[in-house]
Amino acid sequence: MSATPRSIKLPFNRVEGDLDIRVEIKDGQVSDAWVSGTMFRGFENMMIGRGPLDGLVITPRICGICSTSHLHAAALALDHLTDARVPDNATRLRNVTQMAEHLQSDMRHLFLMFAVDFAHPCYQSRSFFPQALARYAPLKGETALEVVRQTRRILEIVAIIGGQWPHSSFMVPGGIVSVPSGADLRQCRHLVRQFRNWFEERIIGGSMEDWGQVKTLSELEAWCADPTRNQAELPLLMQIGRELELDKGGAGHGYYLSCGSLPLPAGESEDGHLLAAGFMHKGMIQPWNAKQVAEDVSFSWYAGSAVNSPMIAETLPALDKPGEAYSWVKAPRYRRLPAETGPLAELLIAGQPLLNNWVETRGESTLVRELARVVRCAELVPVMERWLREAGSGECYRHPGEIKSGTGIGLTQASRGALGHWLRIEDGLIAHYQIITPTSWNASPRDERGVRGPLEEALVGTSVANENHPIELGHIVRSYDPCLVCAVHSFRNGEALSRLRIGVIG
Amino acid sequence: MRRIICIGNRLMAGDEAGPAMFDRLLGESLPEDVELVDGGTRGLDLLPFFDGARLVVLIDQVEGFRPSSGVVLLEGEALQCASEKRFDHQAGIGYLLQLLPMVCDMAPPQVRMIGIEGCLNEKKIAHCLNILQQQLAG
Repeated sequence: MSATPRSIKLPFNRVEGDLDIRVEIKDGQVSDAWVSGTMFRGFENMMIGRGPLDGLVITPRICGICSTSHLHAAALALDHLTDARVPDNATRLRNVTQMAEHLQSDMRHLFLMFAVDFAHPCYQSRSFFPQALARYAPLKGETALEVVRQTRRILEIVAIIGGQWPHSSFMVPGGIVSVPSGADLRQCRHLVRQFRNWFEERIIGGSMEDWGQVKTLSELEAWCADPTRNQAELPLLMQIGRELELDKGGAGHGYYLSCGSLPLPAGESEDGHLLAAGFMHKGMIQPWNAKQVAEDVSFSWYAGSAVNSPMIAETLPALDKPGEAYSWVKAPRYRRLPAETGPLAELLIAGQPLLNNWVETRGESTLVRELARVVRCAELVPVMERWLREAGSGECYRHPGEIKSGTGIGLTQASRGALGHWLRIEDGLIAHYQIITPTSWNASPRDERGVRGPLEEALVGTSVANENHPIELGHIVRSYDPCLVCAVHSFRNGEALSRLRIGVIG
Repeated sequence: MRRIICIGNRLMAGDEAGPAMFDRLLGESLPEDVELVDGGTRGLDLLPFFDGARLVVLIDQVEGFRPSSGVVLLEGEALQCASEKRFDHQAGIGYLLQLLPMVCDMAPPQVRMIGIEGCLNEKKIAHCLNILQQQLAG
């Protein structure tokens, strides 16, 4: 092993087109890491001077995957600004569409983007390889194809409730514009039931109600060891994860953040969200305070103050910025601290027992981050079923009154974590719009104190067996499911121009 | 049922040809059995629009199919040439077309693509409309 650090760029298809990751390797271990967004976004600037409702149309198009979450955040910001009283029916239906997006995203991520690596030829000597190949191989794996079929159906819920697909804008301040019929709601319940049946049989190997009793690591091990479940995916994923020691690495700073998600209909809870907001460290949860969120651009190619509230911060590109800037992603911080967000953080803060037990006893890891995606689906489905039963013929919209000058914040948990829209209206037009996406939290660069972002931190200390194919690092990166908005998606002849590259460069 | 699906991101320079053609086609008279869809950036989520159709004509920005800027009609093997064999956040229509025969609920439709290389202009729009008319006449 060389004692001289070597610098390599990581190759990642299936991450996101505009993400560069560079690590420094010393004595076979990652000694430092830099995560860089390579594309200027600037959607916020596009919003300025537009009508107050334009965010409902434009922001869902920021992302081809999380468009319902962006729509929800944009509507919540306007609800906040107008002090809208959203009817319970509308709250339930808004939530259900976003939950459908989560189910799709969690399953697609887990099997099409993460587990697919287990079918890579580098693992062909492993005992799990034949099964992984049969189930997860791209375009062929039995599970991979089934995931495409199932996740395609579940998103039809957005089309039914939204009345428009794709790129719906059915959420507005005060509620939703569509009024689904009884038949529509029955069809939605049928789609959720289909998903539940498939998920219970093929993913966890048992009923969601029985799965809900699995609250500790030992109970999880017993669940997976049950031979009646050997055709389900969860036992195999846990087995592979343990064999590759994915349960031992990939931990970040240990700070977790959730801005709260899925507002509850009146009377369901004092807290106000199905998934509570909070900031967590070493098992202690502090109450959420949006004023503690700041954007740090010390290492980002942006002009302006190093640290600013998103209600003030601007998005002024400065490619020739002097200093050590290396990313187009800003560094969001909570109480000046980096924080991981996503399904794991969200469910830890919500008090989910199995994940809390895992992190308390074995620590954070790549594997538990993936397990959280399975757990989230099982947590959401019964609530979707209940809300679809409860959503009746009541009102779906209550006029919020004129949209006057003022500010609004829309916070929700998108599939990949905390999503916030900060909005200011002046004289009937958008004067300020700032968006902080989940990947901005997770894939942030360093901040003014030189503290790495969560993903950068998670890579440090990882042993790399083959610098030319550092698949260990790939597992960690993918477990954060980084997503840096839509790039140009033209149909290309031949090899795609991968913006995520492999190769030793140092 | 036949469908025209215009693909692309109207907010992204270089990817706006499909949405621009969608806007243009909104003002055109189409046969009764033809449905026009603004496919946007949904990639794999467009799968349901392939169900129940006997013909799907995609309109999208393309790269590398012509030596120079222009409009090209792609079908058959030409549509299987994209290397998107794995899913990622930017998996687009190339990935969907590879998967289509394996995940379609019914018999997959005939698929053709009107590809636009380079910036869209009035000449290319006219060329697109001409090709589209021929496809729908068949």
